Amino acid sequence: MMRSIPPRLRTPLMMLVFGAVFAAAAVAGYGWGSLLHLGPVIIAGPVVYYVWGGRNSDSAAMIRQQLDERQAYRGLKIQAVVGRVMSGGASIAFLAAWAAKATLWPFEIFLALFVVALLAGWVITRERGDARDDSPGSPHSWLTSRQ
Amino acid sequence: MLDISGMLRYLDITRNRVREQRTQRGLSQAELAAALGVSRQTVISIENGRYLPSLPLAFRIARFFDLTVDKMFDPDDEEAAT
Repeated sequence: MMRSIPPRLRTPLMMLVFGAVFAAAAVAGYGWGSLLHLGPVIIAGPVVYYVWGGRNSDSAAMIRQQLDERQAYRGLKIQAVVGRVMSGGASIAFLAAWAAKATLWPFEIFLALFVVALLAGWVITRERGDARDDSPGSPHSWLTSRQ
Repeated sequence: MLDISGMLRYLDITRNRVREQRTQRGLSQAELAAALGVSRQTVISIENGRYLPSLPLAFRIARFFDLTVDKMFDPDDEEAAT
């Protein structure tokens, strides 16, 4: 279904859908008055995102999901920075909560997620195939010498 | 710790003849970007030595200009270094 939607529209549309769900929850919890504050943000956010996606820049290419190799690499570096900051922040928050004898389980969830994400990333990005050293003189040199 | 010598070596490698070849052929950065299937920003980054292209893209660039990859990106080539 997502493939039938133009790439530039996908993220703004997702923002709009999640915004609508969030607005529905806010209305259920706090009444229609909450829409006065939330409504403009929920509508303006996707519109700004869509308009920005039409520009000729790296950020616009990321919004359009039409990245060349440098932009994709830059996107990965940005994700790495975000991951490092978030995991560092979660660790510091955990230590602060532990020192203050506050509730720890929300931070433990974050730290567990960090470990799970690290393992998942390791498994997903692993390179399949034989990684044994088959250079002359090594125990696995027969792999190439029999040719 | 900041690896200055490593950074300098990296900058050395990224010297290339892309701008020289592009201007010789009277192409704009946007035209070259369209021909290579990358963004204009990427062409600018390669020309300025801020981005080292992948091997497939380096081959595309070299073939586009009818040169070899080592002629296009050789850091030891005095002409390319200027």
